[in-house]
Amino acid sequence: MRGDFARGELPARKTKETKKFVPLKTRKSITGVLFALPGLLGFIVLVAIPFGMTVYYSTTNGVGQFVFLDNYIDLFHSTTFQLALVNTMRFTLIGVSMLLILSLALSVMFYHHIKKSTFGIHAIKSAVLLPIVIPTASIVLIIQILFEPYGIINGLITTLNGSPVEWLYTAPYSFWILIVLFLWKNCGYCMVILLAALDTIEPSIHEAALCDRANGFQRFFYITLPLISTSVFFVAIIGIIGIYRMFRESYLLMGDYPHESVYMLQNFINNNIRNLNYQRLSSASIVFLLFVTLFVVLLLKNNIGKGEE
Amino acid sequence: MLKWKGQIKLTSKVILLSILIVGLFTACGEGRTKSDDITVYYVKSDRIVDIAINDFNKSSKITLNAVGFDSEQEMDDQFINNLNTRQQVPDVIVLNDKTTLDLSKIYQSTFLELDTLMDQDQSFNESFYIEAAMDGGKIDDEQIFLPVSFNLPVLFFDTDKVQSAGVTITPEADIDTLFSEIESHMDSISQNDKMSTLLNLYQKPILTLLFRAGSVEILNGKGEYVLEKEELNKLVDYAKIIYDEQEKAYRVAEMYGNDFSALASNALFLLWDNINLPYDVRAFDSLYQAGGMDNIDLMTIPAFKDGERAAIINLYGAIIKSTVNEGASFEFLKTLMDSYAVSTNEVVYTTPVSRSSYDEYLRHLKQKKNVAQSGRSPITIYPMSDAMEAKLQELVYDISVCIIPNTMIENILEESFGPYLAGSRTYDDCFADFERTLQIYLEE
Amino acid sequence: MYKPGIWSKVSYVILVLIAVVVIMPIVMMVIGSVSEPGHIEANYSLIYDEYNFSNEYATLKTTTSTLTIKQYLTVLLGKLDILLGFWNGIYLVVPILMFGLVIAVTGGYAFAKFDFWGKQIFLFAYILVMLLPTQVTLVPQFIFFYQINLIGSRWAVILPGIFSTFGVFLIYQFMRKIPDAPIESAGLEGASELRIFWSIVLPQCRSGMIAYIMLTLIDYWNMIEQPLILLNSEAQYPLSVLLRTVNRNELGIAFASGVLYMLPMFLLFMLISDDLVEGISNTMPQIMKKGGKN
Repeated sequence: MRGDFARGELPARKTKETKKFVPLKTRKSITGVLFALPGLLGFIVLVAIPFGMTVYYSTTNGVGQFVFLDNYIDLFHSTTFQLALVNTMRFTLIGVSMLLILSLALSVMFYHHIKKSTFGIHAIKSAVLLPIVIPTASIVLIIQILFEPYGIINGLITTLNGSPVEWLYTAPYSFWILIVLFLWKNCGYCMVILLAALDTIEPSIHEAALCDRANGFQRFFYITLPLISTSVFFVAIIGIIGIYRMFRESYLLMGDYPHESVYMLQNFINNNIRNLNYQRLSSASIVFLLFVTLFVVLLLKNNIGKGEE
Repeated sequence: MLKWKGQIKLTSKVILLSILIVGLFTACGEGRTKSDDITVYYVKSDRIVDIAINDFNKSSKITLNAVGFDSEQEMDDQFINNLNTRQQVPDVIVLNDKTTLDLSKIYQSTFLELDTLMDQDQSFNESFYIEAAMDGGKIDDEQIFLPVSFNLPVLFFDTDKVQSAGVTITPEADIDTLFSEIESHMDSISQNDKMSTLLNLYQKPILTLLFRAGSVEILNGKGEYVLEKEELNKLVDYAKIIYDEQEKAYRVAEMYGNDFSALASNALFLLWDNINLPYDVRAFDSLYQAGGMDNIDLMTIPAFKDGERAAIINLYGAIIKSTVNEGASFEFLKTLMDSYAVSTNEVVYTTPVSRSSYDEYLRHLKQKKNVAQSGRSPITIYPMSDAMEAKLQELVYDISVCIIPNTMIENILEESFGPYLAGSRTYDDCFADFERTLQIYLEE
Repeated sequence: MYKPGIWSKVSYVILVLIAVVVIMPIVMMVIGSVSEPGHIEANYSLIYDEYNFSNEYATLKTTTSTLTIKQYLTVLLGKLDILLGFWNGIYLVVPILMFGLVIAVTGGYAFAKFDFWGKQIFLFAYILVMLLPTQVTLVPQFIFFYQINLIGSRWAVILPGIFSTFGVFLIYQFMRKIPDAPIESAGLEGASELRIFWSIVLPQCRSGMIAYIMLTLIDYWNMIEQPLILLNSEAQYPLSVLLRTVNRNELGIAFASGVLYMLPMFLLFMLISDDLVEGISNTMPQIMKKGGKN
């Protein structure tokens, strides 16, 4: 019975039938599995198995014969794939780093120089969070209205007697327009996240640093940054996911074959769906996955050291 | 540690079960046994296929399961889905020039090579069909597609009018002469708002039309890039000439509405595409005559390479590799190629690739006379004259190259050069764009 | 830490400017939605080559000449396909949110507070999958659904959304913060697992659940690739996909449609953004002690 327990005296084994308490560790195993089961099942069926199929397609040819790495070799020879790979990495690197820099800068500025009770601060915070709410197609329409060859911006340029530019179809503008779009969408809540993280730093730490005559930069890099490193990491992850979402905007703005500086892996995969080229698209997917794995492993290793310590 | 074993057992069971389930489904899709029926996919608007289906059913014991689609896109989507999931793949598919499939990329894994079938079949004689068309169905020297009908754009004009307008054009002219004459005429009547030089009444994008008619080669039979920049330059420039004229032409067309004679009098050249060559030529002939113009001549748009005449195959069939009934599928395609019919309303659906069908058709038109409505008044459609028959025969047998259009490349062409035609971008920019996109497409 | 000084004015100004610039497109949209449809079409359709014969440029002016709610009236009262698209969106997103929440909290709880065989592997796999774009998993999923005949059914879109790994991961992070002590003591008092879960754990991750709802809503309300590939007919497409065609063909009502589509998210957002921010700020610091390789 319950009352019979003496604290600290725990039975050695658990069975589901008894109402006796069991050691935390062993108890956790079975119920844990049960709790996780629906999710795991769904994951296996909807993700793991399709992924198995992807691996299958990437190592066989069109008639089902196992060809090991031939598809991958063929893939890497394709200049289009190389282009897509390079573009994706470039876009991700530039996009995510700018996102981090910008949101860090903004949040630090916010944190240090804005009093909580300043008029309209709450409104500003809400305002910068708004961009993620807009539907993709609508923001695309606005961009088109502004940047299409006969759009507003070119109209302004012509009235000022300049020569219009094809913003969406020329390098480097198409690339930067997408980057700006990405930043516009994501900086808001990244700033909020980082601001929240900054708020949790005890002011005493900063004061202690000031006493030690640390200047602004030193304080930032040696104290602030490590203390919020986990949030920075989170923002980086969210940034990467956001970069992938940019495919929607890119596709709506520039179609199947955008300008070559923004032709990314998703375009490659998308177009190969139309070609029925399963071998290509599966191998491309696996390559993508391998890169992501590498990235995650690297980040995990580097992040373990940091922390609140 | 007994619990751990329980864990492992449980999860392994789950995994195995799921794999089993999926495996079962994939297995269900495969394993078709040889049966006595074949499935054919076609688009309903290709009416000639209905005729072929009837003929086939009458003469063959094989059950024909004909699946008709309302649009090319639907058929292509269904086809691709079936191929991907290996379920209910048809035996034969009949494609037209509006297909959305990227044939150059999927043919190797999807379609059967027909050379052996053609050789084995005693009743099949290649010379029955226009040679250029048969060649057009080959990829990398292997027959993949069997052509059923073809199409080429035609320029109609009244020789008297043309002469009096000071344009020297003969049907044998090459493309440069043709367009320089057109351009100079356009300049000379630029003040005249009621007259247009060239009326392109068919809505197809003009670049694609010229691209097909001019038989500009971008990829050769082996899929290698062989584009000559000169040719493309000419193509785009000539397209621009027609494009610039179009606004005026549409206004003229609006002015005269359905009155064909008025229209024909006020547009020097009428460009028609996607017509049924013999039937429509006869009709136009009569229409012109009703308008008092007796000396009608027609010419095709010359190809870019001297002495060549190009057409496109606008209806063709292929057999899917996974079929279990090759013989019956081939029989059906043969029937399709030989199908030719004149319905009670005199509407024929194709310009046939089969020589005998074509000749018979011409003969038929030489005997028929009927009345049709043009604008407000009925006009008589006269039997085709001997001269016209000879001309049409010469036209068709003169076709030296037939191609199956590659809609993907045509799309890239249209998109890259659209801004140049509209005047918002320079040619070189567009060309660079075109080359880049084409390169990406080829290597995908 | 707040330091008063010259920078505070400057920062304030900068932030205000940024806020204004950031809202600009939204403002454009809203203004566009209350403008005369004819003006909008005449002006903005110039960006599309096929409508632009005179080589004119679009301008900003004409949109503010008259203010009218005609667009909204047209859409709400007349355009059944747009309303259908709106309803399709709800029909797709609500099951994803509901069932997905269940999956996310149960899964998150399991990963956060339990230890079982394969946990590390699965966690690692979850992170990987989270970082992949949809295209990679979409095609095999399509084949799978085709074989069990679910293509064209809404569940082909809903099911992957429910089992999305992002939800589990998010809740996992929130739950790690929840102290073990109450759970243990409840267990010692003899509460069943479910009871513990329901009464102790769940209330504490309320902000996590809100974060999940908000982020998932944003993601799936705007989805484009999945419906296009997994659904068959236009009648099933949510408005996110249909807006594309509306923007092309019916510019006159495009803005109003966009605003209407934005509305639910916007309202929800206004309601819970405070909670959201608070939740994030309370749990962020402890988040991301990377559990992947512990």
